[in-house]
Amino acid sequence: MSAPLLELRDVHKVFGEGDTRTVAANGIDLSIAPGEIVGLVGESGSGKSTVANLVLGLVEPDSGDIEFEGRPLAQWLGRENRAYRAKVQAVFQQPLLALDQRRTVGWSIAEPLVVHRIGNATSRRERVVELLESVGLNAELAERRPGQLSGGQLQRVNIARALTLEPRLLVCDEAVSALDVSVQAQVLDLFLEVQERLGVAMLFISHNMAVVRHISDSIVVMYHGDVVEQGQADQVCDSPRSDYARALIGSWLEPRVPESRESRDPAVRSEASA
Amino acid sequence: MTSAALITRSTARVRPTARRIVGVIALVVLAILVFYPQLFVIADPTSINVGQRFLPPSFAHPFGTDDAGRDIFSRMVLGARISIGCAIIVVVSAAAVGTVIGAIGGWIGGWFDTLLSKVTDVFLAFPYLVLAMAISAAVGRDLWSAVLALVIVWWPSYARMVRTVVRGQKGELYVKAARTLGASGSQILRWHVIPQTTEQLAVRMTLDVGYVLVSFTGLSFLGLGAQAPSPEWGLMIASAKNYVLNAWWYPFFPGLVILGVVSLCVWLGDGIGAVKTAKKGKAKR
Repeated sequence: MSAPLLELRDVHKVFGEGDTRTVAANGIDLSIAPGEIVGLVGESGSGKSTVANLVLGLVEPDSGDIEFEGRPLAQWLGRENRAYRAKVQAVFQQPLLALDQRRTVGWSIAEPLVVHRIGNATSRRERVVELLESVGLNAELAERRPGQLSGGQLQRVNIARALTLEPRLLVCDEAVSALDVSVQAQVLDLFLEVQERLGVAMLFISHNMAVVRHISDSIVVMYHGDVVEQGQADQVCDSPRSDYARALIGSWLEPRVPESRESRDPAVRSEASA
Repeated sequence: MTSAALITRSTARVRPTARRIVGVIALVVLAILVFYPQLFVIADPTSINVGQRFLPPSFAHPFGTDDAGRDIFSRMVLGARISIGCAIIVVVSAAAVGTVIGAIGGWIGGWFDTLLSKVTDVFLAFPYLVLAMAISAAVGRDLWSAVLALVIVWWPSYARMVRTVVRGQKGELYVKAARTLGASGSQILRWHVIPQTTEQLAVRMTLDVGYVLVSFTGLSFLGLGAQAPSPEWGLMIASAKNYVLNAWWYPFFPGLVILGVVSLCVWLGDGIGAVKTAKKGKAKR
């Protein structure tokens, strides 16, 4: 495998002190190759979201190294914050709350272009249409407000927004957890399609082992701030070495998610935009 | 995008009730008074004519004449620009200053925010009119010193309001999302967070035009604002105070008009608040 796009080495992060002391990251090692989808799975409170916030530069590690494209994160966030933001984008759990509900969908999708001073009004509008269509939405939705869209449509908008700058890494923090199971499968397939089309790497965080298995190339299992298991998706799922991973797999609710990447149904795209 | 389309859509939802029609008409009349007073002036408001002193209200002089024989109605029309204009200037300046300071304080937090909170607490704890009198008297006892004094005592309430909203919104997911896009703090504040205060600001500013008008005319009444021979309303009442018993109309009409304008502001403010609440309720569903 080529040089890693993102690498975390022995990252520690503790919140609070005394009784409220919580070890959110206890020596995390994690690496994502360009174009790879890494699933990060664990129950709530296991430190998954802290890893997302660390990678997004919203939280500073107590110790350890985080490197992106072979350079330390601190360096990126300092002088080259804009450049880093263009390369690493995020999709969050609550699609409605992640958008400014006063702004139109088109405005929100174009916002990264405005922030990064790319293009003019006309080219931005064209890009918004292109992005909406690329996530399976009708271009007319650009004029709507988030409150007028369904959860699945909103998450597609958030994905379009995250893709506006053609990032190299997408951090998806419980990106399908708030969606209906049927919509979940469609959005997961959109993520896979995006990965294939753009070669974007993903850190895909979820508490749902079935979801993570469906989408990931490799899986990292976290428990109380520790990485308890790490490996190829099939290997982790079929022959888990840790008790915790075995318990997580045992607790699958078996949502109706297609078994493998190959069995995707392209018809869901048109359905979702209706 | 097509903001024009959105504006028509949002105004279409506001049905023209009697209250709204009256409010809009009153606003238009006031706006014309302020911008084109000459349309309403029926007699030269500066011509002193002792023979015309203390004429009671009549067809020729609807509000009567004053101690110098000047037409009170015409003077009030000219005074509208000063009294209402200054009240609006005070409110807009105080809102602008308060919004900027409150937004920065709420956003960055830390010692700046603590300092800001203490300062606003001190201002809000002190009787504002007494403070305004002191400032106006110290700065120069004229129209602009009164305006400045009122801006100084009025901005803290805006700062506090905006700070509260900004602090509440800071942890919201859309702010986090904007940050991961690369938006700077000032961009997030200007594009996302400060617009959250628009409704509250609109209501507050409308109400405050009324309250500031009372304070401003009050300062003039006390001799700390507009100076003679200005037709400022508070000053007119001040000069009328010696003639209350033999010319009731002299202080009565300026007082009545101030009362009317203040009531209108309160009424409009409540109306705007009601419309915004109704819309918000609808948008949630």
